[in-house]
Order: sequence, then C-alpha cells, then structure tokens
Amino acid sequence: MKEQRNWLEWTVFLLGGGLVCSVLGYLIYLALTVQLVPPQIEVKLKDIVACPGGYQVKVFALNRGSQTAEGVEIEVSLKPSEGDEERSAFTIDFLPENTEEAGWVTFSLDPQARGSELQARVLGFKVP
Amino acid sequence: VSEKAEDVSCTIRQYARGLTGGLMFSLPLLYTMEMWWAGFLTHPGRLALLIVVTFVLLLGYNRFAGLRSDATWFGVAFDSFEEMGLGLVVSAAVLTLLGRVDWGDPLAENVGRVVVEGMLVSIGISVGATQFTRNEDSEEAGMDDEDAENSCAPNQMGHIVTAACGAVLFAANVGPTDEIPTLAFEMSLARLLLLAVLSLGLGGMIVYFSDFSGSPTQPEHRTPFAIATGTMMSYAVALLVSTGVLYFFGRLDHVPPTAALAQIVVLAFPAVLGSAAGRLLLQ
Repeated sequence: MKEQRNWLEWTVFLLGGGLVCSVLGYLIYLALTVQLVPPQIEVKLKDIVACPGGYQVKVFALNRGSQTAEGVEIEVSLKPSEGDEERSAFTIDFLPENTEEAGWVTFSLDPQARGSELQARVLGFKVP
Repeated sequence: VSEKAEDVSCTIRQYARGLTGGLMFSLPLLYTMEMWWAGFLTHPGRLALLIVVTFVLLLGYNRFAGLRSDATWFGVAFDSFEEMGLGLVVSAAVLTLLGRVDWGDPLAENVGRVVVEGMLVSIGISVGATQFTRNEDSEEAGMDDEDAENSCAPNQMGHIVTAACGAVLFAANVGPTDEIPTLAFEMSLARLLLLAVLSLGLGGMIVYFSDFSGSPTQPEHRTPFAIATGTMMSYAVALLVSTGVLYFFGRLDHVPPTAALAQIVVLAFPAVLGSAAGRLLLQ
C-alpha cells in the first residue's frame, strides 16, 4: 500500500463505509421482507371549527397497506337533520405506507348541530 | 502521491472541493419533486441496486480519473467509501433542512429519499474533488500532468467509465421528470430520428474539440476513425445510461418496446452531452 491516510480520512472512511454498508444492508433486508399489500386507507375526522363562511373539519388519512397510494380522493358528506346533504372532498397527492396525512373539508352548515351526521370515505386512488 | 500522509488541512480542502462539486451537480435534483417521490415509490431492491451501480462507477472513476492514478484497488475503494458516505450525509442534511425528510416518518421512506439523492451527490463529490483541483497547488497539478503522460494515457476503459459518469450527471438531472415520457409520446418518429442524429453530431463535435483542449499533441486521437469511434462510444454509453436511469425511475415498466425506445432516445440527447464531455474529465 503506497499511500498513507491521516486520521481524518480514516474517520470519514470508517464512518462512510459503515453508513453505506448499513444502508445497503437495510435496503436488502427490506427488499427481501417487504410484502406488497395494496394501500388500505383509514379515514378519521377530528377537530370541527368555525371558519369564515361556515365550518371546517380536519380529516386524517392513514395508509395501513405497504404500497404507496397516489391521488387519494377523500369525500366527506354531511347529512343535516333536515334539508339536502352537503358534500366536500379533497385529494392527497401521495400517501406512502404507514403515513398519515391531514386535510380539511368545509361545510356551510354546522356539523355539530343536533341530528347532523358526518361520514368520510375514500373515493379512490391509484398505485403508482 | 506523497509517501507521507497528507496533512489534515489538505484533506479538509479536498473535502471542501468535493462538497462544492457534489452540491453543484446535484442541487437541481435536490430541488426536484419527482426525486423526493422516487424515494418512496422505488422498490428497496432497486435502491440497493442503485447503491451498487453507483459504487462501481465511483470505483471506476477514482481508478481512471481520480487524483491518485497509481492507487491500489484498496485506495480506490477507500476513496469511494469516503465519497459515498459524504454523499449520503450531505443528502440527508440538505433534505432535512429543506423539510423533505422528516425523521418522524417511517425510516424506509426517509432512507429511500436520502439514497436516491445521495448517490448523485457522491458522484458529484468525486468529480468535484478531482476537477476543482487543477492548478490549485503546483504539487497536485504536477501530479495530474504526470498522470496524463503516464500509464493512464486514457485507455478505452477509462474513457467508458468517465463517459458514464458524465452521462449520469446529465441524464439524472432530467431523467426523473414527467417531461421525458411526454416528449417521447408526443414526438413523431421523424423527429425522434432527427434527435438521435443530432445527438450523434453533437457528441462527435465534443469528442473532436475535446482532443484539442486537453493534453498536447496526440495526432492519432484526431483521425476520422478515432473521432468516429469516440462518437459511437459516447452515444452508446449515453443510450445505456439513459436506459439505466429510466429503468430506475420505473419509466420502462409496463410500456411497449417502442415507447421505451422513444424515451431512451429522448433522454440520450442530454446524456450524450455528458458522456462526450466526460473525456474532458480525463485530460
């Protein structure tokens, strides 16, 4: 071995080599163990707050599958005790596995009014 | 290469040059949305393959164009690990700063993002460390001249490796974008053919002029035959690298062969600029 390295180069080499090997090992482990389960998206409704012109509801979507979902459309409908049903929707560009994303839908009527019923569902998505 | 270990300040300057190069070449991609997505859309097996391919490219580049051309394979591997480690750290740091990596997210997703960006950073570091060294201190510059004349009078293998590195740096910058399939699907066959001819022509031009700019008189490098071979080689490498980059980003999955070929031709245009210019890196 002709060239000699100083302590800094050795440090960077050892840390860098260790990092590269562990990342590679981790990816290979993932590649061998990962099972492709289609996205399974769970939708939860949380905070309802008044906003200018109506009310907004925070929506959480959690992907329990092992594949990323793309273009997830989520619709929330509000059935008041009387009158027409109101629908609101939004789209999440990408929802990777085990990841939770949040969005808001808005309504003109108060979802917390007596007899009102809120329902959320996933309209559809694609797997990229 | 000096017999004694280089002093630490010299090493730090070396790293600084590398980091500059790494950031310069990869910044467009650190700012590209498709690259962040690629981190979690890409199968971990493909990411592992990316690391291996990048490592082989780094080995080749450090062997044929690196600062220590008389280096042993151990030395070459040493440099490659340093560069790849730095590349990963730089990628993780920049992505965290930009808020593209949130360490509360699942580990696999973050590792994917850091790896996709980090590999290009490490090639940039490698190229930066050698290219920005020119005329810096006479000692190292002298060493470079020596290399050019020496055993490393760029042989075919060296040309191919540096051409591939150059092509990757150029092709990777546009490869992940949606513009590639758009162009490929919307361009007519005649236009694609023209693009391929233009790619060859530009490649030839760069090869022709690169032989003037670099090392002094080597007339045998300027014969029409040598130019033609160099051009073909550059375009062949560009096509191969384009195929690899498109495969990595999943652009070749589930598409008919004609659509795949059209995309390869579209991407080979920027790639050939890099691969033909790659030979400049050797001189």
